[in-house]
Amino acid sequence: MLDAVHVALIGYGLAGRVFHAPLIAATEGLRLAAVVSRRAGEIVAAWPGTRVAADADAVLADPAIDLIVVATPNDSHFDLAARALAAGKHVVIDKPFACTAAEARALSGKASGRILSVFHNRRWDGDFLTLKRLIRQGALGAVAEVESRFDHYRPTVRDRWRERAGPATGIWHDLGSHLLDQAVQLFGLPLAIAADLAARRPGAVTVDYFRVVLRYETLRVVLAGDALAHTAMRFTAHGSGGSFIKYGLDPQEGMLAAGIKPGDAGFGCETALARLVLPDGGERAVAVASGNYRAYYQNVRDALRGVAPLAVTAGEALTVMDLLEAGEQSARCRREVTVRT
Amino acid sequence: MSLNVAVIGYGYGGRVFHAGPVARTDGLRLAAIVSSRAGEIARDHPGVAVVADPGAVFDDPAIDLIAISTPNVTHFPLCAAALAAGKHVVVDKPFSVNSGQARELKRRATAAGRLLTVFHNFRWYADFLALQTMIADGTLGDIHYFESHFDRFTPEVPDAWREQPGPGAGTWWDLGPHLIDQALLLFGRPSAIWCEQTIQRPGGGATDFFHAMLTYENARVVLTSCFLAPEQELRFVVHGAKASLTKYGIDTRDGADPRPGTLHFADGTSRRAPQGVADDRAFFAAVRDAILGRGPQPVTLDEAIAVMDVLEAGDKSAAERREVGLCWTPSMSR
Repeated sequence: MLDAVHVALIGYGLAGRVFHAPLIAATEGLRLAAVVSRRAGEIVAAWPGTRVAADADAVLADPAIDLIVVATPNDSHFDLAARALAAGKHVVIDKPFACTAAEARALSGKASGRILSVFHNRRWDGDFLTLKRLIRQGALGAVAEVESRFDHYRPTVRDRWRERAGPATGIWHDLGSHLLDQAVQLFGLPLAIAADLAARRPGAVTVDYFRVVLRYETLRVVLAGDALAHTAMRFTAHGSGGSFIKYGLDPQEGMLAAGIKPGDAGFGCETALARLVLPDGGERAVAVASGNYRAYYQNVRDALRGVAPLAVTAGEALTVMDLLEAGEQSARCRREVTVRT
Repeated sequence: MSLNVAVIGYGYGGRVFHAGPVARTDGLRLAAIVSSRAGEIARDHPGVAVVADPGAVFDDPAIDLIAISTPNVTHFPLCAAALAAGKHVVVDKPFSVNSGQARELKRRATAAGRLLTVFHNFRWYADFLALQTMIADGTLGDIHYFESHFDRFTPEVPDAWREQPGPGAGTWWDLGPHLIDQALLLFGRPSAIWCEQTIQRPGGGATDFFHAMLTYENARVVLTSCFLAPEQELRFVVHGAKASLTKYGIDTRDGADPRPGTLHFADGTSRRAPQGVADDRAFFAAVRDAILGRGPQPVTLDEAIAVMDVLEAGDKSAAERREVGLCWTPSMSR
């Protein structure tokens, strides 16, 4: 029996509470040893036996802590991660990696000998896994166009850091980082990016709409997010062998928020079917694979133990940061920005 | 007393969109077709004169109206000749292959005192009529996003003029005019266009994929077409303040729409959208009324020229890989 990896989670907002704490707790071989937050009562009630610390220094100085998970507002990712690496800890950062690609690059340079990873959990969305499998199997043939959307209906601007002005706020960073990571997983780096970013809701001061075209040789990948949509279209992928059509967001976030635990029966399972439309016009229903965010932490554990390569590397997360910034530059200059030549 | 109509061109467009509806429209008589396909025409329209040379219908004093459904590069010379012969003219979209030609034709039609209009018949499709109704009656609320598709699955490149490189070739000039015209009707003139075009099919010679983003102060419009899309039925995605609309089913040019859209609401519920009903004679009936002084011209030349300006800006945007601003003279912006 290997010793459990002792994990300290910094931050207990949406990301810490809904995603990281339950996923860490449900991963065999990880132990949620400490949470840094002012919400002591809530944490004690939810995680009896987990220590609550008021500031990060206590866990950074604790030699018993192996892994630090940074799940704080984006503008503190760099500072906390840098201090954790300096203290000799392994580090997981919620996405996006940092506020800027320069910060992310600097962190990557400080990680020698330590694991540094970013929580690109949506690689384990069930619908994404299904699409990836269909593409890898050749079921879609040569892929011509993929549209990946992440829409909501949130007409009212809320006073929270994600919606305030400033670096790395707004849905391009928040949701676009997921869609970019998925696109790069499927197709690699695009040749260029053309991005229309806008703040359209009354009172909005940060991006609440994006539509982005990633240009590959002949393939085009469109990434879109809209805070004013009443629909939940998710994936449309057209290829010479068929079109994959999927509605609705992966259910894991909703299940975690509702207190369903990873590993519970039905966790990550989607009853809605996707569609595969065939070139002859016929179609068949496609069962959506089970989503599995716990696989992210199982991989971090295995990488720490040296028995598996790290799934989400700092280099891959840095690529997402570069693409987020290239998108911002494109939107500002109103022209396509070259990514690779 | 009917107006005598000559149709030039009997390809798919001339047969299905022009000769067919003209023959079924009260007050219009399909008098002649200019084409080399005499046998086919004799079967479809017995008794209708078939001539090989357009000069014959220009010179025929009995012909009142000429409908032109020929390759795009011939639109300008044929329109010009028809107007010079004193005919009223309907020309299929695109109006011509550049906006300079379009403006010149407007000048000539005005000088000749003849009706000249462009066949933007998608205005009378059931799906678009239903959408206009849902916007006008407030079902959708203020629209902040409109996405309009015309996808196809034709992996083999046909041996056709529109697939060869050249002015007015490719799907941006073929299907783009319909989608642009509808967007301009709904939202007016955009301030800018950001257009991606490419050739995706092996052996293709002209644009077969486009994705155009039109910028408005309070809305975004996306016009897109892919010819490698096995799911080719998605037509509209519309987000309004009160509801979103998704609409499938591409061909709604005549009769009741067999596949009405779906309205989606903030509480997660959805319901069937109102069904549109189309009449494929509507455009030519409006042309007839305009010639007889009983109604307005169905598609004005300023509207048709605006479509040409957007097409050209889309080409410039695609070539330069950047957004291109659209400057409208004050009388033309809405």
